[in-house]
Amino acid sequence: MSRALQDRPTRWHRGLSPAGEGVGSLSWSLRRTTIGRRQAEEDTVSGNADSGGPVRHRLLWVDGVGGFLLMLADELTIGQPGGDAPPDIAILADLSRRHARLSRREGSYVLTPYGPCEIDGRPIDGPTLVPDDAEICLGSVRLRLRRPHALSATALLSIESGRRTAPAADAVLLMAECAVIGPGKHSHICCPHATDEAILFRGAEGLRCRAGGPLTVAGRSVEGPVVVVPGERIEGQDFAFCVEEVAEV
Amino acid sequence: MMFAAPLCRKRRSMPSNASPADRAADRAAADVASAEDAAGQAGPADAGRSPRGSRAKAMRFQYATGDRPLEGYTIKRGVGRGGFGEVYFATSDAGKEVALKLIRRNLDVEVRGVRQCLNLKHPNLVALYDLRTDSADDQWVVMEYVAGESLEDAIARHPDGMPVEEALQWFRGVAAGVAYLHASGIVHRDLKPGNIYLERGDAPISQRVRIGDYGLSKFISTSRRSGQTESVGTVHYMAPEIAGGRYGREIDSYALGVILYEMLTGHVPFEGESVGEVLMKHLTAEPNLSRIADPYRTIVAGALAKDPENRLSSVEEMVALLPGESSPAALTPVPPPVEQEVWSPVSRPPHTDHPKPPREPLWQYAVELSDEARRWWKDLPLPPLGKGLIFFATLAMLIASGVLFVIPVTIVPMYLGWYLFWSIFLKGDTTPPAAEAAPAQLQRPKPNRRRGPLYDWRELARKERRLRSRRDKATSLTGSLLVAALAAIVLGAIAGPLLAGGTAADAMSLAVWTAAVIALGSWGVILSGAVSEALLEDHLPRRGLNLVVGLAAGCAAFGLAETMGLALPYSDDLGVEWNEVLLEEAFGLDLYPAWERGAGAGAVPLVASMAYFGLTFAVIRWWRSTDYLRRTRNGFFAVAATALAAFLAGLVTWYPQPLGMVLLAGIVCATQTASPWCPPSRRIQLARGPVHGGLYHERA
Repeated sequence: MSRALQDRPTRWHRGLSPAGEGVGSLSWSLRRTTIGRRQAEEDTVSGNADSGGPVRHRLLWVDGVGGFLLMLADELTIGQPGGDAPPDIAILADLSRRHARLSRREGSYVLTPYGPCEIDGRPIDGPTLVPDDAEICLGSVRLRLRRPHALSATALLSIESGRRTAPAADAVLLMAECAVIGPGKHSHICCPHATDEAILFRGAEGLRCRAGGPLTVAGRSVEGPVVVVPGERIEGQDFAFCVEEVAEV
Repeated sequence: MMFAAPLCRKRRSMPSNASPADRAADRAAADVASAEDAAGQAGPADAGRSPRGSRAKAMRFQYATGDRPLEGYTIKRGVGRGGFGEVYFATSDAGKEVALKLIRRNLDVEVRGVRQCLNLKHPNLVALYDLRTDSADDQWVVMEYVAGESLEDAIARHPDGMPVEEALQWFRGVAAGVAYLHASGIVHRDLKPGNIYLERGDAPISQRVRIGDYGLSKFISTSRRSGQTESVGTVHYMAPEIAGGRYGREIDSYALGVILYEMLTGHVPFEGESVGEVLMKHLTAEPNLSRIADPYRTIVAGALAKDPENRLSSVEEMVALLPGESSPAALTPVPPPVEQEVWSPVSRPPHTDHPKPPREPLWQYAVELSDEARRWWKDLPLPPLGKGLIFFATLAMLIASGVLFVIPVTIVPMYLGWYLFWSIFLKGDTTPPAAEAAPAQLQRPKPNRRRGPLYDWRELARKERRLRSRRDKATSLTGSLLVAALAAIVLGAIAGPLLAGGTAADAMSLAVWTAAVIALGSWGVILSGAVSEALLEDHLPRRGLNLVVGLAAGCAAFGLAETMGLALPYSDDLGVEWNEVLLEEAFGLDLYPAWERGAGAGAVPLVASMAYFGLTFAVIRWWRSTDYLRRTRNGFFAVAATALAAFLAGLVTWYPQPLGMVLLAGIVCATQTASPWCPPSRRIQLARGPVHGGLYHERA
């Protein structure tokens, strides 16, 4: 039970309040919505907020680019898959079940180690701020955390030492408010063949997407932002992606 | 939400690094109905990520995530486009990750090619698992999915060439795979960075390299050759003999050479605006190998030979040339074929290897001198305006004094005569030192080379000079005399009018006289320098020799002035009265009084002239100005010191000033200009190591 207390995510957000109106409050409410839903799911399955049933993952498949594990929560545990409480980011490697916890707090990332961890070659023994483009070593697993866009807290966590995530993906997208799919260097998901950007963002009904040009959802042409429904392909002028929800194997 | 507005802005229409060729390909792809054949970027991994494979239409895929066109496999995402159709990433029902390649055109040719390769096993080949037919009668190749980047991406990350170690790792992996294919009797025919992938992991790169798209290539090659739908990306790796319909394994060697070149430099050897231009360059142009160091240069040159007969035909040969390769046999379980032709290394394009015809040494010397003068002028620490002023002042003076017209008139006939003499008598047995010059050029130290022990370059330079052949010495000496005469003419032309101004002296004849005296004086200095360099070491005999030269010069100066009836100008402003010198002041001696001829001009008696020149020549260390190892070619200090000495000598034995100072300073100037001088580059070269070459080289 002490562990559950330790993991309580509200502690990190005590300073934030839904003050003000407009974009800020909307963003706050959106964040609360997504976190709330996730907790509700966990609650329904096991009745316990901490030990999980089948964790649901979202996979973002971008044609011609790769597959990404889409993570919306602010608190993520990293570890080996399996057991009663699988970690949020499961890596098939010689790690403990809960090896570390990565949390996003006011736009920056904090790594709390439970097993041997290094950031940029320095061993850490307590919650540590992860700088941009830092190399995180969990045992023998080398990860890299990148925040390509200066205005967005969204980060991309990629495994550099050839280990696989479960479910398998090319990288983990730690999505804050929004994520950019586009040709530029600042895009979170970089697809050089595209000419226009698409933005994934959190909306009232969950994930939404908007782009400079028209979008085609499951064959229908749609103007303006669209709701990202799992399993439906969203096509832009020269990109296409699909979000798939998978139950943990 | 809060960031959406600033992020959602219009993007540029094309990636900036797309080459014109890509744009041409895009247009072609848009025009031609069968657009899917145009895109050449194939394979199970993320070929579409690379900028060169960027095609707007290329990323449209028929099947979406979750589709199951083939029983047992679920499509996850599109990956890219091959020569035939789309490549997808999919998982089997049990969770095995595979790449699915859809072969649209149901032709027997490629299916046969895939069948042939279905059971090939090599760690550096993308494994083919199966060939299946779906309900719509489309053929699917089920193959290994490689998660990492392609070589094309890796090259794009290093626009100036990747580190040699990394390139070597890639190359070894690719070579091992190609060697296995060749040993199995299969020619890849479509090797290119877009077909080569890197599996993720910690192992060395060479073990993670995977070659894809083999077994499909015959069709690709022929179709690309025939249609406008050619993929430009592939033309860069096409051997010239493909134009003639030859598809031996040498075309893979050629492609490997291009790939190695591209990895090391970041560019393909033959780039062009159009497919035709690139093909033409492959057929005719020689690659620029200057950016590649040996032994890679040898490998690339051998692999890029136009004639397949002369090419490095087997991959084993290429790998054996790589540094640090202990056992080339480890590459492949099959022993290398025995029918290999003997290959002669081509270290550089053949058209650069012709020896240059011998150049006339004086002309060569003049060219070198002008090069040096240009360099000196360029390095002169003056603002451009100052340089321009000096340049125009000099030019105006040269034109006004007529030197610009005198030089061609006097020098050209002299030179023509000498050239005839040289070409008739000397040219025949002058063998150009081409063979010796070439290694010297190769040994030119690189800027980042570690410095070795430093040698006593003075010693080496002197030895080198001593060891010159007699002809070299004579040529150099003749050249020096000629240049000294030229310099004397220029100096005389400048000094004559200046000195004669406001006096009774005739400017024109004074200029001629000055030039003659300076020329004779510098000749004397140069000749005595040559003699003393060879024979004398102590300074006393040298001074003695110079005294003789000085007496002779004084004699000549007197004789010339008398013959021309010239009055020498003088100025009283220099603190020395007419004939008022120390000898007279101190001792009441007046041995050789000068006599006046008109206003501000006079004549100097023979004894006075000889005494003045003799004294200055004996006092000043003239051999320093002819020294091969003097600090600078034309030292300002030497000229100034000589002028000072000339002034002081005038206090002892009278001579019209500033004429005497001008004469002696002019002699120093002309001597230094004409005397050979060891340039700093040569000094560094000598100090780095006792190499011989350059201007003077040792003869057996």
